[in-house]
Order: sequence, then structure tokens, then C-alpha cells
Amino acid sequence: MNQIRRISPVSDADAARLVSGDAFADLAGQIVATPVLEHPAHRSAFPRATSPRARRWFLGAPVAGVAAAAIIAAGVIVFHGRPAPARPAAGASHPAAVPSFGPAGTAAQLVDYATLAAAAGPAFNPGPHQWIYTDVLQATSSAGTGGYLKGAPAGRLEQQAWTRADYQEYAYLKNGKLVIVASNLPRSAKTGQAAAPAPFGWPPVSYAYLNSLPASPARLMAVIRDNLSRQPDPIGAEGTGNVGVFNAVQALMQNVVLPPRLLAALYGVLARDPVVHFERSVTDLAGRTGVGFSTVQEGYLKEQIVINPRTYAYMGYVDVAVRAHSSTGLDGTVHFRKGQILGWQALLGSGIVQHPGQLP
Amino acid sequence: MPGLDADMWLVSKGATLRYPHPGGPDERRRRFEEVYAANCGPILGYVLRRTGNPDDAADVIAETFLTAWRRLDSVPPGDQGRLWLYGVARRVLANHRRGERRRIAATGRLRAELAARYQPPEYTAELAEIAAAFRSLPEPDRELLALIGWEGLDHGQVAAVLGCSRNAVRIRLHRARRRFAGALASRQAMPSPAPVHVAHGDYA
Repeated sequence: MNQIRRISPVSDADAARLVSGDAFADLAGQIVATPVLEHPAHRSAFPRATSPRARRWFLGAPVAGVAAAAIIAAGVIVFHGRPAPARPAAGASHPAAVPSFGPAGTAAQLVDYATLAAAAGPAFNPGPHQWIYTDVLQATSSAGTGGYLKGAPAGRLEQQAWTRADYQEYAYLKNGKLVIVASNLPRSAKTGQAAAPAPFGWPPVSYAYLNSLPASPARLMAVIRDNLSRQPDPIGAEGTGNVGVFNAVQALMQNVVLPPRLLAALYGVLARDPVVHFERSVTDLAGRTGVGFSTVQEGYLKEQIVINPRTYAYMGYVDVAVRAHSSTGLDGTVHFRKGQILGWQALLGSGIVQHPGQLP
Repeated sequence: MPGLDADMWLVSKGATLRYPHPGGPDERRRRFEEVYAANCGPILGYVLRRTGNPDDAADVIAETFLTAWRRLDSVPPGDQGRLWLYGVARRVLANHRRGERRRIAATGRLRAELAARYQPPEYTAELAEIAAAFRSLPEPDRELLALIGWEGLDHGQVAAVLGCSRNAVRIRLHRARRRFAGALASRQAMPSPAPVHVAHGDYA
């Protein structure tokens, strides 16, 4: 060990001498002038303020959520006939709302800051009997939906739900009472346990699996490409190549509340995907402005992932036709006009809780 | 303070413990300044020993103490706070090593000051051989040996920083020392580097 000590690049005395300079005092002053954000992991220690919104718990089958949609059998759907009021940009209860390292104005900044924030924040690793809370706002249209909005996105559907982290149960409120139902996801013949959901391009995504994925964007992209190549069914152009990577990432973000560390790595994957563009300003369904990643598919459909530039949390998605397009299928021909919104969803809040019905 | 070792082990496993402090913003600021004053030198030493780059060191220092400021209730009191800061600095450094660097405007002055005042070590031939043997070890071995040799931590403190048991530290340290001794011996047994003549008159 003496030999290790002999090659120490800096002695304690040298380090003490270096911090005696004015710049270190200056840094301390700048740090204490930095606003302190309430850390989500600390919230449970304080009584939660009751607000009209906190009492308005709704339930509905998630329109685009693979995980919850596969679990839920029935629910109460609440429509709001007008656009939701604008909300502050900071996601109130998203687990990725870790300390901000500054507004992200570029893809590189977003990746860097989200990675640092994830490293500074707590691990997101729910126990099997903890619950994942989600509050999702979804655009609907009186003209109908069917994988996309067929008319103006005039309606709003808000859904609050709880999914047990091991995916064995799902919960919602009915007439003010909490209803817990067993998962109807496929069950293992061996254990009888429901499997974790498998969003497009992914194997079953248990939290153990998600937390085992590499933090390096390059390695994570390799995993995604490998997963796509192993898809059991023919998946067409949307599931191959660089577009397939984008779609797999988007499917995961839409359907699972992700650990911030993985979310940051997925941003890194998108930043290096050559068909993906960084968006400096995207407005989500709740009126919040974020940054985002987008790609144009089939020559007309721009799919945008919305991200909070200060907390780096996933905020939702916006799908819009960037040029007029006609699509003919077995159900007839539909026509999209340029600028038409075909899908719009905002994640208003999410987090780990101990019991269904509890808010983060 | 009884129980803090156990607390640090829990923290290293991802738990969030709280050490709430009484008082308002002034008290919070005072506590941070105490933590900063007590640990700035050791944490700078820790970072510089692992990067040797003043620019990176300035950013890592700023990130580490910014995290401490924002999570002040999680910083244990006393010497245990230093272990907590080592853990944060270690994660921030890991991000830098993965190429996930960022430059912080607030550290411009710090970078300039460190660049002007930090002198990298100049090793003798003997020390250069030791350093080369050390660098040839796997990163976990290097970190373990460095925490003990450079930071002066005992086995329990290393266990808290690395998130493992004291017994695991003891076993891993034994193996790391053996690998270091092997690396050193193999380097000392090697002949002095000399040009090797190859085809076409080039030297490799």
C-alpha cells in the first residue's frame, strides 16, 4: 500500500492549498444561490396539501397504454369538453423530477443533464408490492379514434391509475371507492404469475429488466436493435432500421414509467439515431412547452416525443400530419390534411407509492 | 455516531435517509457552508487523483457540491458526510468517463484557477513503473486500492462508499493487492523498451 501512496497524483496538502483560492469561495456562493427543488423522495415526509385536483381521481382505460390497457377490464371514463388549463412546465410528481442542472436547449445538453440528474437522484427500483401511479391526459375526438384521431382533438380524457410493480394487480377508483382487479396479462403456466407487459419491440419489461439495461446509449441502442431483430412476428418498416429504434423507444416511454437513468440513456439513443431530430419547442396536450425528439414516418406522419427541458422527464407525445395524405386499408380510405393532429397525450404525473389510491 | 455506518450502507444501496436540520434558509446555508469548508479539499483531492484534468475536476466538484446543496437533508453529519460526498463524486466521475461530460458556466473561474495552480506529478522512472502497474489493474481494483491508499479510508468506510460489506472489502482488497503485486513484478521483469527493427526499415 505504501507504493500506492507514493504515486498519489495529488497530496492532501496540495489539495488544501488549491481550495484556498477565491474561485472556491465564489463557487460556494453560486451554489447556495441555486434554487432548491423539493425532492420527490422526500415528499412522503410532509402532509400533502389537499387541492380540488387532488380529489378529482378519474379512471379510464388508457387509450394507447399497452401495459394498463392490457390489464384493465372496465372503467369510468371522464371527458372534458374543452382544452385543459395550462400547467407549469415542471412535472409535479414524475419520478424524473430530480434536481435540475439547467434548461436543455440541445440534444446533447438534454442527454448530459438528464444523465447527471439521474445520477444525483434516487434509484427508481420499485419493490414488487409497491405501486406505480400514473395520471394521463389523452386527446379524443367526437369523430372517433382507431389508432389515431379521426377528427379535431376536441375532447380530453384524464385517467389516474395504479399498477402494482410486479404487474399482478391494477387499481382504479369507482364511485369514490378503490377497486383493485387482478391482471389479465398472460400468465406463466409454471408459476401462474402474470408476465410483465411487452411494448412494441421489447421483451417483457419488468423493472428488474429495465434496471439491468445499459446506461451507455451506444450499448442500449445495440440492445434495442437486437430486440427488434428478435421480434417473433413480421413487423414491417416501422419495426426495422433507425425508424424501428425510434418507435421502440417511443413505445416504451408511452407505456411504462421509466427509471430516470434509463430515460436519460434512451434520450442518448434518440440523439444518435440519424432519422431523429431534436425539437426546441413542442407543446403538449396540457399546454406545457417542452423540447423533444421527432421523426417523420411514411412521408407524412411526424411523431414527436415531448420532454420537460428542466426536469428531463417524459411529458407525452404529439403526432401530426406534416403533409396531406390518404391512406387506404381494409376499413376504407382516410384522408389527413396537413397540420392535423393524429395523436396527443400528456403524462401529468407519476411515481412510486406504497398503496393503490395513494398519490406520490 | 452510532448507526451511521449502517445508514451509509443503506444509502449506498439507493436508500434516501434524511438528516433534517432545524431553522430556515439561513441555517440551511450555514450547514452547507460547513459541509463545503470541511470537505472541499478532500473531495478535490479525490477528483484530481482520478482525472488529473483541471477542467473535468472543476465540473465534477461543482456537480458534487450542487448535489449536496440540493439534497442537504440526505448528507450525514460529521465524517460520514465525506463518505456520502465521495459516493456522489464517484457517480459524477463515472458519467464523465462514459463521455457524458458537461461544462457548467459557474465553474469558469474555478477551471481557470485550477489550471493555473495545479501541477501534475512528475514521476521518477521507478514511480512511473509503479503507476503503470497500477493503471494496468481493472478499475474496481484501482478504486479499492486508491480509497485506502490515497483517501486513507478504513475497510468500513470503503464498504460504505462502494456499497458492499466489510467482509467483501477485505476479500476484494486481498485479491487486488495480489493482482497489483503481480502486475508490478511482471513489469519489473520486463526488459527496458528498445526499438524493434521490422521490415521496410520502419521501427515499431
